[in-house]
Amino acid sequence: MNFRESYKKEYEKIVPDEEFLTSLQSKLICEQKEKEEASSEQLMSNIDKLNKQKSDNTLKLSTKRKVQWIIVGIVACFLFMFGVSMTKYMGIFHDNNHGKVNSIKVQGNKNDSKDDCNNDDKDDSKDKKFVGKSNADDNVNSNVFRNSRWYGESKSPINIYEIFISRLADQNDLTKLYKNNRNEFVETNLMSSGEIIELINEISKVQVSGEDINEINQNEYYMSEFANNDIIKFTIVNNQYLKIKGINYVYKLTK
Amino acid sequence: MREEFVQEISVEELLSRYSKMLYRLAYSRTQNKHDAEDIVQEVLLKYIKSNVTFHDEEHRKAWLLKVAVNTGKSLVTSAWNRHRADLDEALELQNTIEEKSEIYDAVKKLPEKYRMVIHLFYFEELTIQEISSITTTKESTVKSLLRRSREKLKKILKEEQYEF
Repeated sequence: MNFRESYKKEYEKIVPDEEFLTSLQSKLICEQKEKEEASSEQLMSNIDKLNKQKSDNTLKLSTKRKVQWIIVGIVACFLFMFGVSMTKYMGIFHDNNHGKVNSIKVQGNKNDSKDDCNNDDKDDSKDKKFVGKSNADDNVNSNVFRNSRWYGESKSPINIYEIFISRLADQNDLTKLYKNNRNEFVETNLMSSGEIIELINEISKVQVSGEDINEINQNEYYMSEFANNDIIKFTIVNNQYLKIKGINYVYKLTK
Repeated sequence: MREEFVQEISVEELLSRYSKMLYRLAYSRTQNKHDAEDIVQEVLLKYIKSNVTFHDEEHRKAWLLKVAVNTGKSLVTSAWNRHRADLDEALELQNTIEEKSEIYDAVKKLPEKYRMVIHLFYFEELTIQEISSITTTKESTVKSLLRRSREKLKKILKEEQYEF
């Protein structure tokens, strides 16, 4: 006889009770459910941990980016401030140039006739360019007489006159010349080049006079502006006398 | 190389495939119905709780047998169980005496360590190497246990001539 076969045949009869197996099945199913729930919770916990780590990493990255942006912002502000400073610095030159840009070329008056110009050999070549200030300075205050020492240290009345007339005739020095029948000047009172030449011719020869003049008579008021911002006002009284403001002498026109 | 695993099996499938195997092994050692049931329940609960993945069904079977051996070892070696075993054996013997054969009686008379090896070798048809792995003993020890078991059984079953 074969022992194996006999043993197997004998032990095949040994089986667990159905009641035990049913009870065990219920226990195992409950245990499996608990395990699945625990696994699910563990899975969720792991997902939360991963999300938290991801969030932390994102936060770290975000913080890193914030720092980077702050640095970039600081650099940008520095560059901006530097740019503003440079703009202001460059603006000085720009403003200086601004006056040149706004240079006013005083054209000949329409009333100027060719015939008038032909009286002088220089004619149109004598048309002056009067370099002036900005338009805000065009409305000149009549009270402005900023430099009474425009003639320098000269004390002699004839020297003062010579300086006056030479500056008035210098087209590089004279920028604007106004004429009005009262001591107020606006843009429309600007004289043309031809008028200026006529005036210079008119007052080119004078004598120092000790005569008292009556200013109540017919007067012509003039205001001249020069490149160095000197302003010289003068008056022609009765077409006979030249009186320069600030100068105690009266010049009699002899021409 | 990708490692493949067998799919998880349901509780019903688990009981269907392995409950009898575990129960018979446990019973062969304890010779007691209730202890065998306790062992089976404990082994299968360990299986459910574990996160072991198996390469194949043989791997799963070996894992269950190994756990059953270890679980039964602690139960068998407990002092309370050793004292209780005598009474249970007597009751069990009375209840099943009519149903069991002389082979059952002969094996039952063997010490527990012999019964387990005999069962694994003759009923589960495991090799010496497999038994050695499951019981965590040397192959030479398994061979020795088998040899001594046969010698004892031959003495017990002297009237019958069995081929071992």
